[in-house]
Amino acid sequence: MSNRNFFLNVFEIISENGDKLLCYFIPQEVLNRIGSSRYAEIKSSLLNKDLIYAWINAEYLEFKPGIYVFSEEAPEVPYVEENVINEVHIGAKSYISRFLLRRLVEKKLLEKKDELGILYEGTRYGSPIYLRTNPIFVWKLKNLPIYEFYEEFTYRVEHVREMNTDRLFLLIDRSLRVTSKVCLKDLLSALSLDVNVLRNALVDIRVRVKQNDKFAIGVLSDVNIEQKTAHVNFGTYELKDVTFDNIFLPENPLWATRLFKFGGVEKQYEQMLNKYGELTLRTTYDQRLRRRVKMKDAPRRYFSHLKDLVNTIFQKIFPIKFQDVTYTLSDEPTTLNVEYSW
Amino acid sequence: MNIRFLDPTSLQLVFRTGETHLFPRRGLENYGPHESPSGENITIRFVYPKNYQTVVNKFKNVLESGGNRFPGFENVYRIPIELSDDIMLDHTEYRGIELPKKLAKAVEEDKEIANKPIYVIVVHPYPRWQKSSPYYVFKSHLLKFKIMSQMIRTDVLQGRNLDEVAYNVANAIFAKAGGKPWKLFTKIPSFSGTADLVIIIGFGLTRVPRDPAQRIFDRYAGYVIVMNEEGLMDHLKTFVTQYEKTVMRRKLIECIRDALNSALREHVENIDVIFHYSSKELSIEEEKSIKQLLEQISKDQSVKMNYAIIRIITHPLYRVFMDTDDGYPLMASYVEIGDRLLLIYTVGKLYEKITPLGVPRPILVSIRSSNIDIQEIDKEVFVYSVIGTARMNWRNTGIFNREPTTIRYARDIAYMVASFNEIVNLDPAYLPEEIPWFL
Repeated sequence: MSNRNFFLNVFEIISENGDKLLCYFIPQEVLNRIGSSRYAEIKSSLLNKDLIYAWINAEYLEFKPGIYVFSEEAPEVPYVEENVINEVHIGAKSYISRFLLRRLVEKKLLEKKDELGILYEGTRYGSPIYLRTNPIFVWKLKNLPIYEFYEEFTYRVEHVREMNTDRLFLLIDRSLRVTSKVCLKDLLSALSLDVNVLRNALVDIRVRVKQNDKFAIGVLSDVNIEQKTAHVNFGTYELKDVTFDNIFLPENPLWATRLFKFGGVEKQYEQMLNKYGELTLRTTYDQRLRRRVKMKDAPRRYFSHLKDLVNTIFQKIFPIKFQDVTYTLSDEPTTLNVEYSW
Repeated sequence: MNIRFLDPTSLQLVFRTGETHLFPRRGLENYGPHESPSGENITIRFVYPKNYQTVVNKFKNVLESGGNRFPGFENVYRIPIELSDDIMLDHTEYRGIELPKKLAKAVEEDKEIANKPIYVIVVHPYPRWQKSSPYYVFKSHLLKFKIMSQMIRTDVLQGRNLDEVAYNVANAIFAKAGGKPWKLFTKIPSFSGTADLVIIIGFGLTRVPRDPAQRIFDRYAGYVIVMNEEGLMDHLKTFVTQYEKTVMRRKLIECIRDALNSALREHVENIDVIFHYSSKELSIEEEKSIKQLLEQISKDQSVKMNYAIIRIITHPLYRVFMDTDDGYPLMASYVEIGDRLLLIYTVGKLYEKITPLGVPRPILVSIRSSNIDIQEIDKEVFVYSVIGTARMNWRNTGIFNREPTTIRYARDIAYMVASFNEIVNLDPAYLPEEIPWFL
């Protein structure tokens, strides 16, 4: 193993033309005196002025708790007297700069979203989620799109202090998003299926239900054949009647297996699952064995997708300039040093 | 940043008469389980929807007599099984919050038996948040009489290899009957380097919503699990409290106190306690309360207590790649990121040829606090505590288990105890403390 290289999916953010950033610090003691009921107002005041800030609640490394506002002049902050705001110079790659970089990357991505072909989708576990707007693959039946497969990605800016040296990294991850596009009404009509089939195929299966332009998850409990509605359990002890045009397939294609089997499109469905296995980097179709087998080089393929993501998205938003400092992004992922403890 | 590797022999598991093997299944088949339950056999009763009779019969046959990859229950666990009469239910009998009559009648009889049967119940794949899910309804009614149950989802029975399913189900049944399939070969060492006893306390706190998909919470549910240095569960306490931080904190501390008192039943002078937790709900206040409790117990019982609280993040964004044709990172490798973060591969490539499905995801550990200086701590102990407890997941007999058992079932346990409480008013204090009923 010693002759092998190991990589981490992090790309170093390098700073040039300066190693300090000017910011203004409001100590937490001052904020405590103001009272937590006014914190929201303070935050929105900073956001409205388009100021980037980091608010830390506990002391970390050399940083005292409080708000660090990245600005070249003292900011006006509601309830905070000017004389308690201190000018400080912090390292361009310090722990606090991590919050700055995160916001700067986010701003750049949003500015260039159309050019880059991406869509902001909110956050998951505190990290922003972006979707590439062009699907990688669309599964259609009789020209009706059933499932669309998209690449989504997320990132974090991480700070590491090793041997008294601060380093910033862009940590990038990608995954697959599947969306089901067709409602039950259209699907039944396209596959020329009888409503009765739903009883055998979808009862007790999770479905997505459109309610006022939003989707809720429910479990299809029964079907009213005359009314062409389904009883859906939304997790409480009651069932609700929902019309077929508001019921969509679950996003995991594996949960609708029985429906496609009954629909006489088993072969096409199997082909879609082959593709699904490839895109999720789990299985691949073996021509000789005529079945899906475990993908043998999943991490290698993932890594190659990641490099592509860095080249086509992240390198397009760097370099990023803030005050006098220019940040660039390394082309190559970070290499790990190999050590043995046995 | 450095990548390091644990010695693969430290991953071995111990089976009957102290024999060891790296793979749970091979160990069980070659040597038998580490410890058998009391009683001469294990009784099992199947409950399933009528239209699943054919597949259930096939499954029962595999469970009893074995198949291509599963040699049969008695051959693996060295104890025979006895099948009680099946209970077949109509589709409609899976609804509501009462037990169907046929099932209730069987429970009435079984609750009086000393060697109570384990109920194997086939259910549809209901989501965790569904309050009236038969998963919760059946399990809670049975646990009221200390009857264990093992659920099998219909999609699992229909879509997966029955040998594979039978192996994992058999192992969980064996554990619920009081057996101990395996334990760790390498005991979890002392991180302080001075302790004569090491325990791991896993705990979890979950906010339970009043209604599914709503962000209005009305309860906290949590648990405290104690594992000894061989990875065996010593103690499990669960609780449900009103949605009030101070009440929840008091209950959590009470459970941790019970856990520590049970670990300190025998006299020790110097103990290491590693806390594993995964939820986001642990605030500075809870951490402070835990520290105060430890100081108090240390003083009251004249024992030197070294502790470390580590947060386990099960879905970090980090991944490691090796520049080989396949790119797989190695199982039991870890990366130290700064002073307080450890990225651990509980699953990965093993012996240059065995690989998990897909791109393996590591576990990220953040060392939150300790009463020992961070530079003095042997952090590799934390790595082993995570890998070791991941290997102690008795619900999976495969080679790879990704998440430590200390936190793996956090949300499942929380939702279960909250539902049991809601459906049959089952007090969490009544749940078994020494049997892994949550598997």
